[in-house]
Amino acid sequence: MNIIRTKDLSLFYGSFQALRDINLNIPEREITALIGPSGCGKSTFLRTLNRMNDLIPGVKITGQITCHGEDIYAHGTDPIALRKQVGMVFQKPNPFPMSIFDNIAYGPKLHESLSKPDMADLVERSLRGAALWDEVKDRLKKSALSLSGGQQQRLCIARALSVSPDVLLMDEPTSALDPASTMKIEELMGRLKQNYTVVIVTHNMQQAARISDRTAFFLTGDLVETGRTDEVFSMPRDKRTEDYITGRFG
Amino acid sequence: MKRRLSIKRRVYSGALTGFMYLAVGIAVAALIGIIGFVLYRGLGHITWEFLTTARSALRNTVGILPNILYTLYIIFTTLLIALPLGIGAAIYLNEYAAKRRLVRFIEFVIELLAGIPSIIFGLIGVLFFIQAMGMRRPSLLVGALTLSILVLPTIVRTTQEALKTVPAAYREGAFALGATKWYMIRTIILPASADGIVGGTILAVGRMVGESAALLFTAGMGYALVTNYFEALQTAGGTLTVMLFVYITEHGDFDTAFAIASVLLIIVLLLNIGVKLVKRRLKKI
Amino acid sequence: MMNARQAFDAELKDLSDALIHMGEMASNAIDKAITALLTGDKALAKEVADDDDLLDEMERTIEQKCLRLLLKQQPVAGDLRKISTAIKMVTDIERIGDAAEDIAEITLEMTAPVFPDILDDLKKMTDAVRQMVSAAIKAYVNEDLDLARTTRAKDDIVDELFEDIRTILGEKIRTDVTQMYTAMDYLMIIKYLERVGDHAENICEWVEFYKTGIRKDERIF
Repeated sequence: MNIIRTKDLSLFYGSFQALRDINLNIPEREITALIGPSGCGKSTFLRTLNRMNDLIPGVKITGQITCHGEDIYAHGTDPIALRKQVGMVFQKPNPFPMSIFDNIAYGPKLHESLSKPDMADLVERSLRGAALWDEVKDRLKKSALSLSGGQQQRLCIARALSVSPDVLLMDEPTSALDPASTMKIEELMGRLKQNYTVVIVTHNMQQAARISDRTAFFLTGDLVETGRTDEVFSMPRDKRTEDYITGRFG
Repeated sequence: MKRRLSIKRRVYSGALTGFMYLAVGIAVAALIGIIGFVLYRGLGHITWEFLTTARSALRNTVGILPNILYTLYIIFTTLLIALPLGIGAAIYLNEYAAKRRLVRFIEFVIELLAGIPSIIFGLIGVLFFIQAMGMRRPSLLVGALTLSILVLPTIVRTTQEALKTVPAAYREGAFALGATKWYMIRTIILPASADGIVGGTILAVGRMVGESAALLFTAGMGYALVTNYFEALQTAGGTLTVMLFVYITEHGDFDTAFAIASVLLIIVLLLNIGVKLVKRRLKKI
Repeated sequence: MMNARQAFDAELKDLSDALIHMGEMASNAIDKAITALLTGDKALAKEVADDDDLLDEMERTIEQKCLRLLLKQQPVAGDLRKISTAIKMVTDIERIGDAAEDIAEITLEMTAPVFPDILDDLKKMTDAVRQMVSAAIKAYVNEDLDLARTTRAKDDIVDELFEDIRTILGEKIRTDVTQMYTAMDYLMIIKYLERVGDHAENICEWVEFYKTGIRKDERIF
């Protein structure tokens, strides 16, 4: 089952075309890795999936993206409802400058009003979901900024989970973390895919190979190749993919 | 690489270091000298009566209580007007305005406004608020309106700087959770930049405390005691700085002037301590 | 476009060169062992036994190279296939060397000349095996998928010859018990030769995997 499908998706920053006719399906409850050199459009593509590119002036999008069969760029689609459904985790951990509890409660407060115990329950569930609960349960009122980088990133994952999305977009979520924190997040992603669909942008080939089920290779705005990760990393069909993943490429 | 620096370079370097010590020394000495001199001449004349009564021609006593109150009223009123305007303008310029050229133009105008001598604001206050708006005579309200225009650039600029220091990552994080722009600004941006905004506000208050030229003809020089805030707004009244000027020029009373100067110095000192405390408090989260 | 991995490429080339060199040595060892057997040249047989130590040494070196590359480069795609092919191939090549040594050792202890009635088939079999080994190495060197496939098919010929010779040797033992030990020696020799054919076939299979990602008609990844 594909949860997200794109059809001839093109994106322009002014007159610059950043994505060219992308046709990519994202299967449900799998991890899809987007790889490619810097500036290839993978992050741009990721950000079209929850309409984060709307915030940039001068962006024009053609083609179609559907999520659960619905055109997310159709007139009348509410980007706010979409972002509740399609959560996002960023490259640098970006907890808000408030308490751990308030960080998690921030999203739910936007969409519904919960009683105190319900909110406490939701915060706990979200933190458990991101494998952070045991580490922070005694200091929920402490500033989120007092956490380590890896914990902050898991907090951001918990924050994304708090609004119960179907899809998690991750934009190089471990590139600012040390190896141990990276491994924890990778481990977590393996568990997350039982309930969520994950799309991750990564520059780390080994990471893509380790954690993802499918890999899509982008180059200068084109989707060059997509397939099962095992296949892409052992027997890529396209010479450009081979050159990139083996590091023989500028 | 054990070779030592050449003599020429050592002399040059030594001279520069000496010069820098000298410059710092002069600056510190001047500052301490001025403060010391003011306090030396002024502190002796500060009495309980001086602080808690109004000036009385009958009893021939000098008191600055009304002027302290006026100063506080003017600061409060000015902030009431200028803060929402200034912060609102800064938020618009930083978060909403889409046209970069328009923003740059407005910022340029604000820069210009900040560079205008304050006497010109006083003139505008007289011409615009008193004559054109029909307020007829100087009052604390007119003074506060004039000061609002005067400190607006400071508030806009410092608020903008504060907003700019909020990482873009916070904005993205909030948007990604489905926050609307205003909600994001209210819950993330403003709290995160409160530190800088408070700093800018204190800076503006400092300017108000020190201002005389713009207030002389707009707020007036009265010294009758009016304790009711709303009544006071409509009364002409001199702030501490204005009165300092008045006591020297009209009465030649340097003792009172230095006493007022000492009070002003103490207020400024308290303000600075206040800023430090507020910032420390805000830093905690 | 600039190649960002010149050092790695140089190491891969070294690995290939070492493998080719070792393959040629193993191929020569088989040649020499068979020549020694057919001509009764004991000095040559002795030489083959010594060569085997060298082959063992090379196997270790190549294995180390491969493991070190896996550790340091974490290769993927073509690089991964090349290195995993090398790590498997080197075992087969070493076994070919072992077989040559075993044949040489039997030769050293043999006193009777070759049975004339198996000579013809034995020559055919040795030729076929020799060809398979050198073709397999050549297929690897030239990354020649077709050659690898045709060479694999040749193993059937070797197997047939093995059966033929075995039947003759069995007949010999049945008719003349005094020749039993000599016949058993030859049986072992042809068994070794048959094994060499199998190893050559394996090498061809690895070349096929290297080129296609498929081994024994199955995707590995």
